Amino acid sequence: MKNLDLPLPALSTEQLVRFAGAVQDFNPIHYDEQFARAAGLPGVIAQGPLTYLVALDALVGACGPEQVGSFAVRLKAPVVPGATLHLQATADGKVSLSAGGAEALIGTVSAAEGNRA
Amino acid sequence: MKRDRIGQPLLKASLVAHQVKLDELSHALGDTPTAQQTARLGLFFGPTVVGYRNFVDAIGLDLERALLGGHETRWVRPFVPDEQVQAEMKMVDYQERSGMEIGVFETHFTTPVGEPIQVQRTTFIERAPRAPGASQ
Repeated sequence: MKNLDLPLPALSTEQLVRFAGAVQDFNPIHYDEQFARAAGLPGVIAQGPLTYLVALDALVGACGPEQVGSFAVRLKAPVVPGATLHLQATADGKVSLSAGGAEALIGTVSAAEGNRA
Repeated sequence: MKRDRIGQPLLKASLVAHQVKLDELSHALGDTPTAQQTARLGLFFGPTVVGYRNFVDAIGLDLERALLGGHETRWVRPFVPDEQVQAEMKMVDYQERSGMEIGVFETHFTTPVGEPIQVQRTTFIERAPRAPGASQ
């Protein structure tokens, strides 16, 4: 792994809806503003797995998929559509993703053993 | 959350890593230059492989109080477009902490003959119910 400091495009509500359809995750907190607020959230939030994959995609883009053997994260705060995203990673595999300046995800990535196709 | 489900297979599914689903996930990722490669690593999210409602019902999750706390994937290889995949999910840990319930679920993805493709480990947190009369 290498040191990374990458601004990423903000997620759109359309991406949340596309992701819900792709993985069949229709929890209303991802598309129903009223339900999300009643659940104590600031509004609709990105699916945790989508946030995970956005961070993974940045790592894959920077290092190649064959360099990613495992990726473990803790989700620290919800990501709302439109929030500015920023990914940082260190050479020893520590990864963080901020959304709107707040830490949204922290984790570790490790290299794959051998070379994957 | 139903703590008595620890160790039991909760969900089993036979899936196909359809190219059209890879395309859908790639679109959801914003069609970045590597979105197709990333989609092959993360096409399925274990708890929702047979629909999120089945997962919610299987463990008695309260959606208004549930949050994804963490997720880990260990890859043997990416999914191959249009290959057949078997998925099996179990609850592997359950804890109560500060009024919250924390459940850990492991999903193994294999080929139809049992060769490993990837393992996902997913942590869900169910927050304590609000006190009656508490503000939103």
